[in-house]
Amino acid sequence: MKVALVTGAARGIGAATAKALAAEKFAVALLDLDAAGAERVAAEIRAAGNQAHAVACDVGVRASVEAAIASSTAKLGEPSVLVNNAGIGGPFHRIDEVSDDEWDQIVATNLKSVFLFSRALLPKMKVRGYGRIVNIASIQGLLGASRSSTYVATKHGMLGYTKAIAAEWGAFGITCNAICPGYVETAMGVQADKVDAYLENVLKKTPVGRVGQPDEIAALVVYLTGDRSGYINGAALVVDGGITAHVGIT
Amino acid sequence: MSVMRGKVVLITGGTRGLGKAMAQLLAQEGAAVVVTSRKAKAVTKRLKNPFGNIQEMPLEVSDEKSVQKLFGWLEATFSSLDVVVNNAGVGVFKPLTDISLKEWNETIGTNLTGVFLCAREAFRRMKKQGGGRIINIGSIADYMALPLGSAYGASKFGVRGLTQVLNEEGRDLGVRATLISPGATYTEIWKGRKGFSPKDMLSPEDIAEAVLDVARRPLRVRVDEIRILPPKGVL
Repeated sequence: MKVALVTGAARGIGAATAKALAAEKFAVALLDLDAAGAERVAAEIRAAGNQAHAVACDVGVRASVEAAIASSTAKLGEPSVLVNNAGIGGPFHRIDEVSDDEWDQIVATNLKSVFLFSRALLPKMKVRGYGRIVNIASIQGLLGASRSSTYVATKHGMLGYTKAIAAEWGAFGITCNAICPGYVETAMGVQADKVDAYLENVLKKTPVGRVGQPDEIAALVVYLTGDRSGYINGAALVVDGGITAHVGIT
Repeated sequence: MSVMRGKVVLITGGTRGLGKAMAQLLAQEGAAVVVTSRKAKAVTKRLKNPFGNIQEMPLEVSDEKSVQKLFGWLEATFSSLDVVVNNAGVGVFKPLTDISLKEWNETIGTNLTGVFLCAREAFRRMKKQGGGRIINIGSIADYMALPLGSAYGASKFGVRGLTQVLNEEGRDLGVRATLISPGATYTEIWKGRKGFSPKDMLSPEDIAEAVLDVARRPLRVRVDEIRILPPKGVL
């Protein structure tokens, strides 16, 4: 059985991705700081007749990453698919309000994590002759945003790192791509049932006139980790309802 | 064309001769192709091929553990296994009285036991996933007597029998087996030998096209056997 490892799998895009991969008959390792949340999703996957294993993991800390990989490998086998999804958005400070700790924490969770998992798993994928890495970035990996400077920097960094992996490891049957979601209905994104000025603004700037759903991101992860996607490598694929295609002035 | 896009194909042998031509054609048609070699290192190697994916894995077809290891790797690496081509084979051509037991055992071990071991693992996987194709490469020696070919002929007639049984056992499971029996085919082993001219013989590409033709068919189509000969017939 093929094994996929998904970080930040307790909720939102990560949980949807874990479920979608399980439906494709992957055994899924669900990593999250919120171990109980990851276990709830894992239990749901198992109830549907598929394999899942939840592990607590602080993705920005090397020892925690290595322990989580060891635990999931012992339980399910070696992953040939890695989805770097874990990330934090806020707090939303102006640059002159950002503390060193805040910068370090966002960089560790959003960007260092990608390095830690890639470094640990790429050599194993090379031995297998096959691997798929999908990094969940953001449209803020392509565009700037106010009061999100650290987040914007990490997501831009993620896209650069995606291309570097693609260039360095493509020869070994490994591809690495990024997905740049727009506004998705998650705890971290927007909540469609809470219509406020922020959501109104998002909808005004989104040509399709709605927010995205986690399963719409998961569907692309499934495609990118499938057998037909071998020629897509180093891409940043935008799934944002047209936000970044739209100047937004007229 | 990409008629094999999204399909995963295992070809035992496949690094030279007939198997190499099959691997190239199927990869060019979009399949992810795995070829095997006794000499390959423990880790997989991607073969140079500008048109598609071919990777090489170590395999000794007559060794149960080696076969199980390869199929375990396939299971953990690809979400399906659509086609298995049992192509690896050896030949010894001597009068019956000159064939040693060792030569007999080697021929039967690779040509018949090897097909059994790979077909068994393939059948298990295909049963689980709801079907697949097993294509066994026979020879004119699987339907007619060639002098000097006692061990070879016995192994190939054995493959003929095994293929027919596979089809019956696989009937309701979507597992389809085909025996492809090529006549004289010009490969590097015949190069420079007297009496073997490429003009009178099939090319490896001719056999590869027959494999592709079977491999691409939907599983409702059962192709029991294909005999291919050069116009001259049996050399």
